Amino acid sequence: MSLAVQPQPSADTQSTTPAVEVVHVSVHYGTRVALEDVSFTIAPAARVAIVGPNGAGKSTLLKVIAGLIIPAEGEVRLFGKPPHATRDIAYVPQHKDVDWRFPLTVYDVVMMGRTAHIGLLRRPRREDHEAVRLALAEVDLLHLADRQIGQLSGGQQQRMFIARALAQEARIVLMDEPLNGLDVPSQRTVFRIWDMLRERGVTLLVATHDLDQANTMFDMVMVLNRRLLAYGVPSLVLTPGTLSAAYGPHLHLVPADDERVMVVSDTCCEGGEHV
Amino acid sequence: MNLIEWLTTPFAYPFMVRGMIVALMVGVVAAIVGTFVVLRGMAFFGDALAHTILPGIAVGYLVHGGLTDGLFWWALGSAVVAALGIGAITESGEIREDTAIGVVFAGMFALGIALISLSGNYAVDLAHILFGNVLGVSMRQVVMVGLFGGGVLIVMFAFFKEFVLLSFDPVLAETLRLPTRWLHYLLLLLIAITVVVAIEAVGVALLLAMLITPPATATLLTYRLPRVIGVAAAIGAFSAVAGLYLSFYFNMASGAAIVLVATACFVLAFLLAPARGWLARRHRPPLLSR
Repeated sequence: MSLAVQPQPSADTQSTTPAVEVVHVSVHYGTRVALEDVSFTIAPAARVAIVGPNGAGKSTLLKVIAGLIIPAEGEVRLFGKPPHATRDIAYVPQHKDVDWRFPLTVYDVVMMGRTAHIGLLRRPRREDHEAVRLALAEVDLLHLADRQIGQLSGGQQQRMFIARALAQEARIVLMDEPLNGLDVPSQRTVFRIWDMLRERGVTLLVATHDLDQANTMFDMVMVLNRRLLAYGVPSLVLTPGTLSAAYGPHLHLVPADDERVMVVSDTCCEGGEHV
Repeated sequence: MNLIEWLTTPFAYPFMVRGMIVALMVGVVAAIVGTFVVLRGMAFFGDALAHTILPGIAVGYLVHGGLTDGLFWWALGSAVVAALGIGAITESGEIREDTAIGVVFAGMFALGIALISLSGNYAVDLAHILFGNVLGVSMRQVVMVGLFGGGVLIVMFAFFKEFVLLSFDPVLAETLRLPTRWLHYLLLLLIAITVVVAIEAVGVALLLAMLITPPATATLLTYRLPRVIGVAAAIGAFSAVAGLYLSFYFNMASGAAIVLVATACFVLAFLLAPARGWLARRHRPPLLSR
C-alpha cells in the first residue's frame, strides 16, 4: 500500500516569508546618522554581502538585525517576528572582540549556543551534547573539541563560531569581516562551510570590505553608505556608478578584458567621516 | 615541638578556631566569585567596591558607638548602593566605566574617613577596618560569614553557565535573549556581598588580593573553567590557613600574612607553571620553528 505524500501547504507559505525584512530603518549615534531609511528583504537561504567604506554602517546594520541596537525609526522582522522575539539569529563576533585567553575549550564555546535550549538553572542534557558533537563534526573540528580556544588558527576560530551557530539552530547567521587575516586555504574551508549552511537553509549575511569576494562568492550584494545605494545580484550591483557613489574618490577602477570592472583598491577613509 | 604539635597548638585558642573558620570560608568564596572578576577584567571594580564600604561602616560605627556586629548590614547596604550606582552611571553611556568607578570609589572612601574622624579616637578601629581583624571575630560573625558566603555560592552555581556566557560573549547572551541586564546586576550584587564578607578576614585595603590573586594563579595552571574555579578555591583556602599559622607563630598581621601566601603562590605559578610559566615560555622553541 502506498500513499501519495501531499505537499505541505505550510511549506509554501513559509517560503514566501522573508528571512530578513528591514523597513525604513534609521539609526543615529548622537547627532551622527549611522543608517538612513534603509529597506530591503532577504529570502531564506540566501548569501548576502554588505559592502561599503569604513563607517558606512555595515556593523550597525548587522547589530540592528540582531536586535542589539534598537533603530530610531523603522523596524526589523526576522521570519515575520521582531528580533527580540526570536532566537533564530547568530552573530559571529569579530576576532578582536574575543578574549582568546578565556579558560574555555572549543566544546565549551559551542555548548554556549545551547544555553537557551537548556534553560535557566539546568545542565546540558544528552541531546545538547549530541547537538554540540554534531555541529563540531559538521565543521570538522571534533578532533579539536578539547583545545583551549586561543590555540586555534584563525580559520578554526571561524569554524568554531559557525559550529556554535549550528548548535544554536540559528536560521540566520551574521558575520562581520569574517575573512580578515585568513590565509587562502582557510578562506576556502570557510567558503565550503558557507555552502553547507546554504544547503541547510541558513541565511548568511556578511559584512566585508573585499569587493572581489563579494562579487564572486555571494548571491546578492548590498552597497551601503549610511543609505542603501544598491542591492541585487553582484553583476548588476557592482558597477562603477554605484561603487564610486559609495566610496567616492578613494576607489580606483580598472576596466578588465571582459568589460566587467576589476577593483584594484578600496583603501578608504579613516572612520568615514568625509564622504 | 613536633609537626603535629606545631599544627594543633593554635587550635587550643577559641579565637584562632573562629579565625581559621572565617578565613577558610572567605578564602574559598572570594576565590570562586573572584574568578569572574578576573575573567571579566573587573579587578578595579572589586577594589573600588571594597573601599566604598567605608562610609557604611562609618555610619554604623557612629550609630552603634563602636565596632559591633551590626556594622555588617551597614557595610552591605553601602556596597550594594555603590555597585548599583556604578552600574547605573555606566549604563547611562555618558561616562566610561573605569571613570565612573574611580569617582564613586574615591568619593565614598573620603566620606567614610571623614565620618570616622568625627568620632574622635578612631585610629585603632580604622586600622581594623582597613587591614582586617580576623582573630577578633565573634561566633555571630562566623555564622554571618557562613550564611552569606554559602548563599553567594549557591546563587553563583545556579546561574553558572549564564554568568560564563555573559562574561565571554555578551552579544551571544543578548541574541539568545537571556535577561542580560538582570544577570549583570545579580553578578555585581554577588561581588558586593563577597566583598563585605571578606572584609572580616583581610580588611578593605587588602581585599582585592583575596578576590583576584587565587583565580589569577589558577588561570596560569589550567585552561578548563571548572578546574580554574577548583584550583582558585584551593589556593584561597590554603592561603587563608597558612597565613593564619604565619600570623600565630611570627606575630604577623593576619590579613597581610594571608595575602602574602596567596601572592607567593602566584609568583611560583608565574615562574614555574607547566605550559604558561616564565620558565616554560623561555624554553619553548620560537614560533616559526614549530
